[in-house]
Amino acid sequence: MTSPEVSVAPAGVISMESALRVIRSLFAWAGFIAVYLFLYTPLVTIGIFAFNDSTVQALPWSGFTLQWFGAIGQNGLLFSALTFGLSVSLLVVAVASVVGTYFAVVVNSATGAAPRVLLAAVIIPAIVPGMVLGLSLAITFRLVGIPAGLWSIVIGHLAFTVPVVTLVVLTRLRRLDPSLTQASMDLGANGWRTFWHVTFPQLRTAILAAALLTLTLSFDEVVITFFLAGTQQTLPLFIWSQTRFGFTPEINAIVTIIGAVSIVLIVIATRVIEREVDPFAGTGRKRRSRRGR
Amino acid sequence: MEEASLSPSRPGTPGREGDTPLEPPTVVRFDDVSKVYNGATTKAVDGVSLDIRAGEFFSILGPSGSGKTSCLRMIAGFEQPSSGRILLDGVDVQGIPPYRRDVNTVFQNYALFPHMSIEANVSYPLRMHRVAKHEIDERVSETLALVEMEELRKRFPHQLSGGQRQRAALARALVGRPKVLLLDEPLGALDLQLRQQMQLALKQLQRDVGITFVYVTHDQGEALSMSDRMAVMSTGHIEQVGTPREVYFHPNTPFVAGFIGKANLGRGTVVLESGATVGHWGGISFPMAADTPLGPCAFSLRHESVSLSDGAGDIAVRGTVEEVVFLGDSSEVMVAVDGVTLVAKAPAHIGFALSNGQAITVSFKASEVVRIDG
Repeated sequence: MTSPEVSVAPAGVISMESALRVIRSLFAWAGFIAVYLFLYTPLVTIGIFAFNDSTVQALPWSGFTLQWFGAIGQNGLLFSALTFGLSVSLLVVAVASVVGTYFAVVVNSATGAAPRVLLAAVIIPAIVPGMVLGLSLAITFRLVGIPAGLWSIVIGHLAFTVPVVTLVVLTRLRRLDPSLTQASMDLGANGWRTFWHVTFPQLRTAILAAALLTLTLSFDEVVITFFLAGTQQTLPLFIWSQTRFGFTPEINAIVTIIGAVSIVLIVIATRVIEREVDPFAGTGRKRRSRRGR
Repeated sequence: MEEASLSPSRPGTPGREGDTPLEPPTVVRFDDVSKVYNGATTKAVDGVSLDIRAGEFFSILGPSGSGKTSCLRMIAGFEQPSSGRILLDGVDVQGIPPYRRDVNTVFQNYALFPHMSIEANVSYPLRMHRVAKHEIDERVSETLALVEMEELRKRFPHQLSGGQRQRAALARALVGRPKVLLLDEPLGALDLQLRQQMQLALKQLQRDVGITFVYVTHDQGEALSMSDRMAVMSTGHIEQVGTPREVYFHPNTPFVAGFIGKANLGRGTVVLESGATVGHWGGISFPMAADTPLGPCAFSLRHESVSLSDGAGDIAVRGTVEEVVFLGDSSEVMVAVDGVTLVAKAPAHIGFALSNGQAITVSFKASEVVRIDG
């Protein structure tokens, strides 16, 4: 706020300029706020209606209630979609964490051109449009005879979550000091024991972060799941099918819960990734790069 | 080699057999070893043959890129020789992975495991070799005491200073009582004062534990002060192997003469004049030992061997002061003598008293002039 002092000196030009500057900054702020309104209004809206004591999803506000949260348990179809979706996601998290970590270790230890090829081969399924991946998996499963259901969805989700785990863990692996593995081998540990005692403990938080990310990705995936689901729907599929008939407020409630939980999980995941970068690497990495010269 | 391959267990400690008391047995032997890294055009290590004896403090000294660290990494097993053999205790170690070699390394950046306490770091090699629990405790305490780190055993590496980390890394490498301890510029990251302190401590430690140390450094001061013997390397090959004193006072090659300490280097000839062997270096002449090879050669004379008074040596020559460089504790005085510029190391106050162009007499002992091939 230096404009008043500035306008004291040569009057006309400067004050015009400062007025323009104020208008420009107002527009900048308005645009900035509009973006956030655009992003958050729907989220807030659904949250508000989750607590609104009325079956009609419209204003005016007719009083605060928690009944829609209680109603989740009573709605059998909604509840089974929730538990089915959770079991899919937990299976996906378990398998993707192990397989993704394994891929990351393999890619990291390969030499020459192999890492690039391996990595690309792992990542492509995550980049391919969900529609293509979902349809091709559905056709393949039908040919091979895998029935639509829990396992078909799990396999479909693994196709795009394993790359995520691989990338997160690989990033961490590449930041590890290679002399630590050498030191371990030097001190009498073979490859496996070195991984178990030295490498894995330093990957734990990266794997945890990747698992949290995988959980949120898998839990609300729609496109691939749509192609692979049988009669039992996952939660997002169920909600989507309900919207066609005009959905009930308990859906607002469950979406609010899921939104809140995913925000918490994502915050934890990013915190874990960030903290991971900090404590050990801070001094060690700097020193390493200095030596590198 | 045959005995070693017959018995699967490790052969007994060398040096106790008493076959040749003057020369302990060889623990590490390089047999014409060369190393070319993938994609490199030049040899990182070029035909190195070397014997390192049991219980000695052996340094490999060289500038960066001279192949000294490659040699160390081949002993440890992190790299394989492209040709030639490395024998540990008489056994060819080609293809034997690092974790089956009775050799431990102190890494330049210490490579302490960041997620383990100092205690856990030091007990690591014992746990990996499945040593009994009570013995682990005993040996960890003993080794931490050796490096004066008992109080810090519960700390984590990031809670320690550079010098403490260094000692923890030493303890971890020593606790398994390896046949050979490899040290890769372990003092490089420490400040000057700590470095000098650690030099003494390392030498003392080596004497106490009696383990063969192979110490890689680019710092001639470290190599000269700690080693029993040392090898000087340049561009992948060994220039000279000897005691610090031999290497310092009798350099075999112009590289060694120039790399270690500060020396006047120049070309000259050795001739026979009326029965006496005489060296000519520019306009300076001096007697040489009778068995000195004749013909053109290089001469080396250490800066501190040149004195600015005429009484200190048996050869005195007249010259003029070209320049005086102040170094703090001393001065380097460049004196032009008959087509040769001799640099003398002098106390600082003597340097101050001199001015450029001043006539001066310098002297040196003829016996301190070293004749070098090439």
